[in-house]
This record gives sequence, C-alpha cells and structure tokens, in this order.
Amino acid sequence: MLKKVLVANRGEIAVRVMRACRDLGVRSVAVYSEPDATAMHARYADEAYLIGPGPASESYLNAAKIIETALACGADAIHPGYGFLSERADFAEACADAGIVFIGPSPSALRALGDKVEARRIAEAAGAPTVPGSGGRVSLSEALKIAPSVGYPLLIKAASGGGGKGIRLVEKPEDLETSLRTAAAEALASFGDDGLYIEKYLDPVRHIEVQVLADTHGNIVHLGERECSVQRRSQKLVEESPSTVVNEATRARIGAAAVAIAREAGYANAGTIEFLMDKDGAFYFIEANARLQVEHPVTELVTGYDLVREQLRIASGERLSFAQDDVRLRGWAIECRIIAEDADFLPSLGRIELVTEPSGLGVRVDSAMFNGAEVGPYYDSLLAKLIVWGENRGEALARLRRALGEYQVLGVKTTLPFHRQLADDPAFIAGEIDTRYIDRREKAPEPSRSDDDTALAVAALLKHERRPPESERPLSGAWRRAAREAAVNRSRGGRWRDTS
Amino acid sequence: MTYVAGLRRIGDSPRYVLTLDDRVIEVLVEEEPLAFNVTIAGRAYEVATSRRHGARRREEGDKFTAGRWRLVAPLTGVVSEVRVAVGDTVAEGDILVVVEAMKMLNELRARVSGIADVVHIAARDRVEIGQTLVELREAIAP
Repeated sequence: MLKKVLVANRGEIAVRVMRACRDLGVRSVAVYSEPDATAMHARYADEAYLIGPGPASESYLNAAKIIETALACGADAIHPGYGFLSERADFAEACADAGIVFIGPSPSALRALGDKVEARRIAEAAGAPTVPGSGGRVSLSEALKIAPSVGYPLLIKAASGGGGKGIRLVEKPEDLETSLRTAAAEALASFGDDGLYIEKYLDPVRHIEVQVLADTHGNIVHLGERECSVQRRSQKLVEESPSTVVNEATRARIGAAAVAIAREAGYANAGTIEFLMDKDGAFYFIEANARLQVEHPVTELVTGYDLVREQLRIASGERLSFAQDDVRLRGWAIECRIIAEDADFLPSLGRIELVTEPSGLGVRVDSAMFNGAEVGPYYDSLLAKLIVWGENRGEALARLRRALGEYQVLGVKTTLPFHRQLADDPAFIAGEIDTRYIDRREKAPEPSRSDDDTALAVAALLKHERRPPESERPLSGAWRRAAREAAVNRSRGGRWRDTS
Repeated sequence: MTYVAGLRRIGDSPRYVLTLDDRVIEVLVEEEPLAFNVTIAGRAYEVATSRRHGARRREEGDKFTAGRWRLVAPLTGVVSEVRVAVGDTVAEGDILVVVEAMKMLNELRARVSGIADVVHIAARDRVEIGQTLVELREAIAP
C-alpha cells in the first residue's frame, strides 16, 4: 500500500481524498495557493505546501511545481481529484518519469479517452452505440458545411472539454457561426485548445453514466448507473443512483457496454462512461471521464464501496477484492451540488459569514465550507455536496427535504433555494426529468410571505437596538413604536400591518 | 394583539433567536448599510430601513430612467469582450459585454433598445459586481 499521497487539488474533493487516506493509515499532503492558506484542505492534511499564487495556471495547474513538491516531501503517489490536472496525460507521464504513482489511468488511456474523437472510435470498436455527429474535430467552415446534414438542434463541444464546459446548444442555423466563435473562445480559455466538434442534439434525453473500477490485472467491474439529467449549461446539479428509468436488464446491458469500453481503452482505476438515453431507453456513448467524479458519492452510498479507497488500492497494484456478482445496489441516493451561484446561476463571490451543515442518519456532506471562508474568482464555484440515502427514492427525497431545510449558508448566494424548489417539484418527485428540465422549469415563485412580520420584527428590534444610547428603553413594550420610527419599508411590497 | 418580543444574538455570529411570547424563532441576519437581510426558515427577506434605498433599487429595471439605462455587472470577473462602441444603435437582447468569471463566459445583454452613450470598460478589465459597464440613451424617434 502507498505510504504518503499528495493531493493535487483543493476544496471538498481534496478533503474527501484525504479522509480516505486517513481511513487507510496513509499520510496525506496538501498543496495550496496563496489565497488558500487558510482553506480546509490545507488545514486537514498531515502536511501542506504552498505552490504559488491564486490563478490556477500558477498553482494547481503547475505540474512541475507539484511534482517537485511531491519529491521533496517524499510522497509516493499523487491523487489529482477531478478537474485541474486529473485528465492530463502529460502530467501522468511526468509523474511516472519522476517515479511517483499517478492515482488514475495510464497516460495512454488518458490520451485516448481525453480526445473525444478517439474515445468515440474506442466505443465503436467496443460495440457501443454513439451519437450521430461530425465524428471528429472540425474547423469553423467545415462545421458550417456539415451542420445541415447533422440537423438542428445541434451541440458544439470542445474537443478537450469536460465537466460541461465548452458546450453550446445551437437551435437555429443563423446562430451557428456566433456560437462557434464563443465556444472556441471559451474552449481556448478553459482548456488551451480551441478545437471543436459537433453532434446531433437528442431531445428529450437523459444523461446516464456508469461507474467502472478496473485493476491493473485486467479485472473490470461496474457499480451501476448514475442519473445526472438535472443540468444547467450542460453542468450537472443533481445526481442520483439508481435511475428511475434503468431496470435490471438495462443496467446489465449499459454496464456491460461501459466495461467493454474500459477494456478496449486499456483502462485502470476508477472511471465513468457517460451515455445519453432517449425516451425509448436506447443509449449512446458520449464520453469517458478518466477520473474520480464529483458525483461519485451516490454510487458509494448505494454500493457501500469507498471509491477513493479502491483507487488507492488499485494504484498500489492490488487486485479488485470483489467481482461483478458481489456488487449489490441497496436503496437510493441523491446528491445536490451546493454551488456559489445566484438564482440566475451567475457566480456569487464573497465571504461565507455563516454555514450550518445538515447531519443525521442517511445524510452525508462533502464540504470545504467554514465560517469566514472566502469564495474567490479563481476556482470552480462548487462549495459542497449534500448526499442523502434512503431505502427507496421516496425516503431519500424526504431526507433530502429535511437536510436542505437544515442547511444554512450566509454571505454568498448558493444553489440551495434551487434544490429546495426541486425537491418539492412534482415532476422531479415523479422522476420526470431530462437534460432540459431546468430550461423548462418555471422561475422560482416569490417566496410565501408567511414570515414577513417576523422579519419586520427582527429588523425593528435591531434598528431600535442600534439607536443612540439616550433612547435606552425596555425593548419589549416599545418594539412596535420602534418599528414605526425606523420607517421600515418592505422591499417586496405590502405594508406594515398594525397588530393592535 | 400585543407581543412580548426579545432578540438575542448567539455569540458574535449572524445567528439570532427571536422570542415572541413563548415562541422561539431562529433567524439569520446580515446587516447592510440601509437594510437588514433576514433569513427565516430558509427564506430571505430584505427589510430596507430608509425610503431612499427603496427608490434607488427601482432604478435597476428594464426601463430608461431619465432617458438613460445602465448595464450593471451582475458578477465580478474579467471583461473578455466588448461588443458595443459609443454611438452604436443597440437592440433589446443584443449582447453588449462578455464577462469571464470562474472560466465561464457570461453574455450580458441590453434590456432596452437605445444608443450607446458611454462605454466604461475595455477587454481584459477586471469588473466588480454592481459596477456600471455601459450606458445607453433613449433613441428619440425623428
């Protein structure tokens, strides 16, 4: 078994990986950027080293500095988490050259699956169905030429993309050129590569993915599916396992397809094979994520396996300790991504003034939030993940509502109000979701005003308290008068009601 | 109805307990210069404490105020593209500025039709939430 693992990441995933290390008695090493000196992952690790200033390109993406740090502190492995360097074949190669174990697939598997065109070829060779499209990188003029034959709506995707970034939906031919230019700029900014390809957009469609684990001895298993159809701008917001539309027969077929693709790619370690599923239950391979995924905990809760622990064992050269027949799904798990974004899904930066996270049976929170944490502009806006488990979907939903009610975050806007609305939405409760669920949904209604008067009372009492000292009167008898003096306006309409 | 009300802060956190007679209500309070943001049972209520504040907020709509409309940055980020120049005629829904934040390109659009009067920013500028980026004036029909 590995002895010391450097985690080349930050935020909740870095902490989650370090927890698995600690469970296994493996030492963990954090690397951090200047603004992250007080971050949770830097404090949680057994050792922590500064690797550069805030911008990711000068810190968490600085491969040479990270490898140098690993060598200097005697780490025998690097866990890349997700994002950052996790799917960079050159980084995995540099680790190998430095004699450090990269906890993930081989550089050649990363290279093959990281190129979406090659990934598609692998899937076809493995006998898995793929989505109609350009089948390869296209220039702007080529894209304009072949678009009519693919048909609208279509998707523009960054060849080096992932995590939903660099994907654009084009509904009408006249929008194609502008969208291609924006997508190319976004791809260049995010991945340093403006290569694009186009694909038929299936609608309605679900995003169903399969978790696989492969050891370095040729054993590959799948751990069932995750339903990730609740997305905005092609980024996942809510994931669950199992899916309401996958029965045992379908699971066996899609699972076998995922295992075949992993085998064809020469894959080792944890990975995810992503599919689209149309309304008739037909599925098409879209891409492979050659890393641990954000939503891996839902699989952990229904299978009982610690995926990071399995990753560490596989990277140590151990054989999988279980076979496909040993994998049993029990109950239902749902994850909500708590992201620093407002109701329009625009980033919300600032200091977290207060956070209270839910707990109790069947509730797991993977988080890097704490009171006083700064949410800055440099990194992904995912703050935490709430994952709940129940014996069935109904029980999981009830627990989700309970846990969302307990969750409090002040200081930055988060997706919590969105999740609360979702958990009460009859369509979501009925499992009627597809990738356009959010586009279709009604804008959140104005919150009920049931606590308006309470809010006014609080404000009036505070306003009263803040008055100059000469007005020191007992609060209890005077709060109504104080309210009037404070000239309280209601920002949401209505007016002060005299309760006398 | 008469209540006996009390408000107790827990430590120096934004967490308070409001007692109304025997009822205990947990509230979270964020204090702003002219308002209290009060969160009760997961719902946020903004209570403005001066009329001026309320008046200022109404300006940020989809209408010209005094013949002028301002595009205000809804987020903090870096300007990646300015698609409007002074004197340009702009239609409602046109993309005026693209701001990159957290690796996402956010297209900021005109909510009114008009003529670009002032462009406060250039590509690669860092902008703060609430900052005015572009000002449009009302096109007067000939």
